[in-house]
Amino acid sequence: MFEVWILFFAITVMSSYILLAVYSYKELSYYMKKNSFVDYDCILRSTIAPSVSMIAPAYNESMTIVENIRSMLTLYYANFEVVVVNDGSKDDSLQKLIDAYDLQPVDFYIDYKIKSKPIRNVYKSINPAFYKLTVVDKENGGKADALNAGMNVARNDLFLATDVDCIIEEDAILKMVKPFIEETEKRVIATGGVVRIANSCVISMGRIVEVKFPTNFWARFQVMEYIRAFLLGRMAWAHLDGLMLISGAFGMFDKEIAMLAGGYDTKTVGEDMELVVRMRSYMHEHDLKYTVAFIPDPLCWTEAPQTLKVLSRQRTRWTRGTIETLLAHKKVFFNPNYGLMGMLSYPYWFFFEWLAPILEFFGIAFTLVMVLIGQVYWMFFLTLLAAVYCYALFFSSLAIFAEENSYHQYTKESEIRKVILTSVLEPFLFHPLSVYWSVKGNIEKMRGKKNWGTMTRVGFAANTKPKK
Amino acid sequence: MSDYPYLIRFVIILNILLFITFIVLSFVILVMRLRRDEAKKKLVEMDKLYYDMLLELVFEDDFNEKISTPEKVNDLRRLFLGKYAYTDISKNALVEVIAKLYVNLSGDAGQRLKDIYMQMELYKHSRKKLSSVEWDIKVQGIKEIALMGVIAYVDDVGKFINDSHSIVRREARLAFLQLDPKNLQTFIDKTTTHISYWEIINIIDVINSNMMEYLANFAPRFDSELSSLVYFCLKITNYYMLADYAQAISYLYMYPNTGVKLLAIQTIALFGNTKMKGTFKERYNEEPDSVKIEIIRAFKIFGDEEDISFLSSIVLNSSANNMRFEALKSINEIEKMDRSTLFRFKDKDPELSKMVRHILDERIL
Repeated sequence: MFEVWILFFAITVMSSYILLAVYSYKELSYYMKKNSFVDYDCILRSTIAPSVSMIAPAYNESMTIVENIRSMLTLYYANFEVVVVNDGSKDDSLQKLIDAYDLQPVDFYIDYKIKSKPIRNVYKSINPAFYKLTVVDKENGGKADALNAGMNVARNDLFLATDVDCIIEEDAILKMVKPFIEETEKRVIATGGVVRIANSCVISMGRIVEVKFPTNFWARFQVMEYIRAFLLGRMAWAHLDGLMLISGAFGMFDKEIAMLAGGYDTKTVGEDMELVVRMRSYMHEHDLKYTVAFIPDPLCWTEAPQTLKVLSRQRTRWTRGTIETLLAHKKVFFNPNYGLMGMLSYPYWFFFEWLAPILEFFGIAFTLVMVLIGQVYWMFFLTLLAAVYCYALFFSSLAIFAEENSYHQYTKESEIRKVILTSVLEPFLFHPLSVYWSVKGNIEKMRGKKNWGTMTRVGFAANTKPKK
Repeated sequence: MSDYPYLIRFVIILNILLFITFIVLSFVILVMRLRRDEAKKKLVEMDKLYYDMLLELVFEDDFNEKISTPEKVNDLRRLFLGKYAYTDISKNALVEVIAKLYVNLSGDAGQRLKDIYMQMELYKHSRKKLSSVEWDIKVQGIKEIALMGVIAYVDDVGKFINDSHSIVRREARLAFLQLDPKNLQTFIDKTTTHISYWEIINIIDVINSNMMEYLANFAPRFDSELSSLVYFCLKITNYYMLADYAQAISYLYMYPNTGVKLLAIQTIALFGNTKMKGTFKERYNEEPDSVKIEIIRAFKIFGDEEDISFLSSIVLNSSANNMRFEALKSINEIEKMDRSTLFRFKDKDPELSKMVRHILDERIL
């Protein structure tokens, strides 16, 4: 009986992925068509477009902070401000900003509507060219705490949470704002954007000028993973109105609702997902009509970890974040009062994102034991193994197909071949590691680990075109 | 265990199917890439050719001669469309190039482009698209008709103003106004479905680019149950400072939709309708926070010193710091000359002192 349940579980996981992929593809095609008729310049010209605050926490980003902030300040949007939160950096990030942007401490009044570590100073530039920039210097409290401090300082109705080391496309705000002003019958409380991998891409003046497939082996697998997650996963969830995760690297929120819901939770390492779940819960509990939107355009680029050590830290942290969020909101589990989130999204995350890797891990361990004691029906085992592999290939090819039919970021044919080859190798080389990291994340959670872990980045310097 | 051989057979077939699908999809991806590159190249080539031909034609001295008779127009049609056969693709490409050029060319050249579009009866091609079952083709047609200003089809476009497809509806609304800016009244009268803020931004853009002097009579629609329509009328009234509606707008303060209510308060203040001040003060304590903030801001716009006592009471008695801060900002605006009240508050309590210092720091915009 047990084996039947396992089989049922596996088939349900696989079918749900396929269903989501097909639905996503349909929605993606619709979005591409729809978007071809949009004149974004209209928002750019408008004096009545919503105001936006970009909040970018920074911790020890001295190497790139000046250049990255400069590219943020030149985004195409009329009514926006950039709030950089220096989260107690130990390097000279703040001094570099002060020097580069002629900053001075000002008497900024902060209404601590959301709790955060004390703010030491707020800086504004005496150079009118940088009037959009506000720098907040605070005691170290982690990313969520820095975002909360940023929310307390931000003056606009919408805020875009991002990382200071992300590369944002010039028209990113224009595109992210649109869902908020398009909806007429529901309140859009958040919009998620796609994060893509920038490793090996050519960068000039803080912008991606040529997209390239990473040369780093591990980064390549992550490209595949991101394409699958963003194009074939979140797109479908958004249109089912069940999106529970907006990437911490790039998401726009309704500040009023985010604050009413209590802001970012500083006790979790999955603050991005936790905030979305809490905002959604708030809307359900107050019986307010709402939606969470998603934009499939590649608007934000980030550096993926290139070594197994760093990748492992990132993945175990993601697992801990998922567990923490799910445990913090267990009241939502199969609770019809929370609509689709309660009846579908939360259970999906619980069974397929949290439990599935654990089950897979035990499955592999059990198989190894059976092999050792000679209790394997090889024909059946190999056939099922092949089935899983073929399924993985099929699913990845669907993702590549969706990418090719929409944004086709990799322009060279040789790169497409590399993407396909990566999908062939991934089930053997990367997937087992993902499962291992997931289990490790569970163990770390049980042991009470709470910190983020150091995310060492190589930086984009090697791919950066020099200024002329 | 006896069932397993059947199961194995089934899984093997499934494996073969999945693997074949992977191979086929991979092949399709690679072929698709090549074909797309080719098609793109062909389109660029077609665009360039049409672009050069059109530019040459509109700047020719004997242009009028070339479109003077149906036979000559036929020659032109052959010249343009014969290059790539009379397909919808070539017609689409030609219309697209004409539209792109039309946006950038003014005066005689622009008119000549429009003549080419009309004489070659490309407008029929655009109109045909309106009856397509595919929404994107329909939208394309609507956009072409609007861009080339084919006023004769204004009613055909108007039929889609309340279409069930949001994009068709949105483009039809914009096209309807672009074709004849005087249509704003008809548009307001005809609209029975929601208008999004995105559409409002676009409509204001159309109004601005057409430099419309008379807008419409909004008053009858202020009591509509369609809150977004009321919001739209109110926004236009606010944006273009249509003070004639000041009286009608005062009633909107009681409108059940919060968005409308907030905008109504802003507009009442903007039009200096001081009769409403009493109502604002009376109802202040019963209102939700968002409305309270808007009321405080309204007093800033009224700019009347007699309201300082009301604002001061908020500063002193409110438990919400954001209300106190907003009230201080309003007081600062009202008595910009001497700021005596503000200085009086400065030493009242540490929190107030921080707020006042913020307001007085001119480096903070």
